[in-house]
Amino acid sequence: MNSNVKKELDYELRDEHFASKEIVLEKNSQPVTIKERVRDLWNKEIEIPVVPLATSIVIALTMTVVPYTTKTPQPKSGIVEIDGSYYWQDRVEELRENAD
Amino acid sequence: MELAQRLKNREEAAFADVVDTYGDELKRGCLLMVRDRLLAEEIVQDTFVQAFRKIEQLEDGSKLKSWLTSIAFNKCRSELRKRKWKFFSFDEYEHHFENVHYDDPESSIDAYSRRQTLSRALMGLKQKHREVLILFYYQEYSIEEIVHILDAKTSTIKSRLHRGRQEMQKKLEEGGDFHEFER
Repeated sequence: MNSNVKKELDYELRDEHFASKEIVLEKNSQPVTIKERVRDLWNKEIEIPVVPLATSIVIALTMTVVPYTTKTPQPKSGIVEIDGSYYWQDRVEELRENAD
Repeated sequence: MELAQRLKNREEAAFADVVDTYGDELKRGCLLMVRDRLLAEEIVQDTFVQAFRKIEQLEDGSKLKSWLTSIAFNKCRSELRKRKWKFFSFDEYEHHFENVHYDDPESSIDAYSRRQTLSRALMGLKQKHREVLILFYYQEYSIEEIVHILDAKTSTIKSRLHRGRQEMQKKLEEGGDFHEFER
């Protein structure tokens, strides 16, 4: 069944021929140069597993950034005693200012 | 002695034989993939050079053709990835064929009219469907071989083949009447 499609495609592409045979044979007879080795290394494709990598990044961010961003701001001032109870001084001053 | 073994023995004539045997088919397959004549030529050239240098990695000599196809199609995929963000239209493809010279005007018209159907329709498919259809219909590989060449699951290849056929049929109905893809 496939052969009809192949025949048709071969007919349509009958003018397409591989014309670089001599170049291939010449390259094949020459030793690999350092430049080519470097180029091969540079063009080497590597596969990065996206899911594990993304998971690692999320975990790392959660452990480092989140504790700082969610930390409750602490009052800067000291503690004052009012009627036997202890309060943050700047909170007390803030409430007094609002009451005024 | 089989061709792969002759390559491993570094027989000069074997390299030429491999290029003669598989060169045209690989070039046409790559052309259907990348839709660029010069690029297809370069890819096949690099494929042979790489294959000859790494022939020791070919364990089963009877799979020489599929091994070469695998290298070539990986290179095609790599080139298509590089060009992903570049606008790549059919105008470019048409431009390449405009440069083809035919001595006989009738053959020119005939060839052009045929190109309006199958290869053109095939080149218009999505890459993932195109590569499976090229391997199945043009290179005539089995599903199992395509699974190995593209390093994908059998179900994925079957699904892409099915969808590719549908897409192909749709395109052919728009511009031609080639019924081989109906099944």
